Amino acid sequence: MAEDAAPPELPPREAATPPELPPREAVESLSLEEDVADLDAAAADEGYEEEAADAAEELQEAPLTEEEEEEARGVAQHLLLNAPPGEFTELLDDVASITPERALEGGFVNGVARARNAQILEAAITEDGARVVLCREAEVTPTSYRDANGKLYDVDHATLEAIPVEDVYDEDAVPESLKSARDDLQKALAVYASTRYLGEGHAATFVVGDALKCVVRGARKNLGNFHSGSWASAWTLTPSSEGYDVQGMIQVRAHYFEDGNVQLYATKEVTASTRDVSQLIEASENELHAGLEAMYGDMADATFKALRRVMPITKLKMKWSVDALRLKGGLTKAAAEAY
Amino acid sequence: MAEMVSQGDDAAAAAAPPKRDPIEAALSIMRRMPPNKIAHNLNAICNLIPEHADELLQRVDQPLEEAKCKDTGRAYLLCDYNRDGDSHRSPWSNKYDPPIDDGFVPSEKLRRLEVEANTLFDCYRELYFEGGTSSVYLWELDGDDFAGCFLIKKKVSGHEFVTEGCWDSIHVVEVNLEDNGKAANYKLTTTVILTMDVQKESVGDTNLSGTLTRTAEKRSVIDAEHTHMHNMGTLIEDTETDIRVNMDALYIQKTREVVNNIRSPQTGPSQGAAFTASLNEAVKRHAR
Repeated sequence: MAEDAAPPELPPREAATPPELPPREAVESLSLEEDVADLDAAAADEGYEEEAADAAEELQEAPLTEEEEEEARGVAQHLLLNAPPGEFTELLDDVASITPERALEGGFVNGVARARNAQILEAAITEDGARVVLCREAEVTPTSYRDANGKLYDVDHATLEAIPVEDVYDEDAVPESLKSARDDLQKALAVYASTRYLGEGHAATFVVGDALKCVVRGARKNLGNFHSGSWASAWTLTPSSEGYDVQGMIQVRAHYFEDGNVQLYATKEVTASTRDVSQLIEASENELHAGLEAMYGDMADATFKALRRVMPITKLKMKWSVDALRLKGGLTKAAAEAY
Repeated sequence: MAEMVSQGDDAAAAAAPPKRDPIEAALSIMRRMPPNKIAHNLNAICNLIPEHADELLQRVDQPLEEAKCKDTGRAYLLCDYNRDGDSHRSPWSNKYDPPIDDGFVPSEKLRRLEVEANTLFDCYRELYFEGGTSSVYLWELDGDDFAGCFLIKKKVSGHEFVTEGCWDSIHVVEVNLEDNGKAANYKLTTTVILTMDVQKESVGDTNLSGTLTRTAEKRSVIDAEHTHMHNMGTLIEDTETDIRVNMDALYIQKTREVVNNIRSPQTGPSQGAAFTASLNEAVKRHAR
């Protein structure tokens, strides 16, 4: 295949170059510096530097030093990159309330939203309800994405709105064999996603270079009832003599926050070779789901008991009297010695 | 540096519509951040609004840190209530580490109650947690009123179902005497912070974490049976048990519900999906 035939891994330099997304460890890591480093790339993308320079000229006296502004942006970015699925705008409102306004200007917010969307495999939605997965493979420019059929959309990363545009993604150079493999897989995954997923079930398959990439995802939020969550997986399929070499990552998130804050975050990597990719994806997700169900099932009887019992082994509540405990031999050794 | 940041805030506030109360916004952010990284995220927010850091650190409970008492060799827990400057007071020896000359210590009378409270709370910890560390700190309020902080930390690792896990209990109780000391009103605020890592072939790398805060209040007479320790202890015991049951039966199971409402855990429909897919495939091949 010709060098320039396939959609390039990275768009050419002169196009708005998407920053290399930080690896998962970096985003999840506690280091603010790494967040800041990535942010600069994202901000540069959106013409941040020019705008910042303009803004600085207008405001004869900059209220923040560059370092302070950078630090504020680093913290804001760190917080926003931890947004639970479906809660980005709510979190942004709060972050904006404690961050100097200038730090959030110039495409910064959209840059961070874009990184978060790619990380959690978020989808934008059109007025008609069509979903566009905001993964890296679907990105044509930082604000233009393609769907599995090559239709193009302008997207707003913060609000998750998508608007269809006239253009179609140019696939002339993609070999027919890859296209048809992509279409077959897309059909199978679409059926899987729409039957097995109950919330926003959706799949998207792309040709990237010599490989296929696909995303399967579902999400559900009801912030009025204090919960949100997503289940998403991304797969890279490299053709081989055995069919495909498959590398996948499944991520599951749930947030429940009525008078509290409880979160589940599960990730599982899958490496395999198969001829039937959709079957493998379904089986892998079933296995993780069964594992989570078993974990939840063990929770009440076994797991929690290891931390704190509901009732003492004696089935008797505590006697809050040193004398009473001494009589019954209920003082711990250390307590008996110390008291 | 703190001054410059607040100047910046003033300038921004003058140009823009009034922002939300920063404390409220910060607490709201913390309710969305992963509960297994409280300390880190709270610290990050404090860097953004250093002028509100003190209040925030008071309002958001963090996982407890542990130290070893130099005199007794026993482990104790660190919090704001046993801290004076950079030193912490051991509940077992009543001494500060690193040593300081004029560190706060409770009155002799209150210290006697504190020693009793630490003994009893240690037994309570063993009864319900079968391990871990506990500490109790008391301090005077106006008149004969006083307050106390009852802490427990329990870690597990290499357990059959939990690779790494930790439970932190933070109980702060305020005691106001009534009826010339014949009765008292007890006001309790309890926070539990929980985190569980599960690493297994079936679930990959999974973390479940949460934080819950509850308040409880009760009035009780004070007599030979209903001592302060009995009154405070039963209130703490009942509240902590309540949170423990809620955390498991309500909160953790709610995250399961969220997941199962996104993707069906039943295998029935999935076989249907595979079947439909194979039919589609057959139709397509036929059409070719």
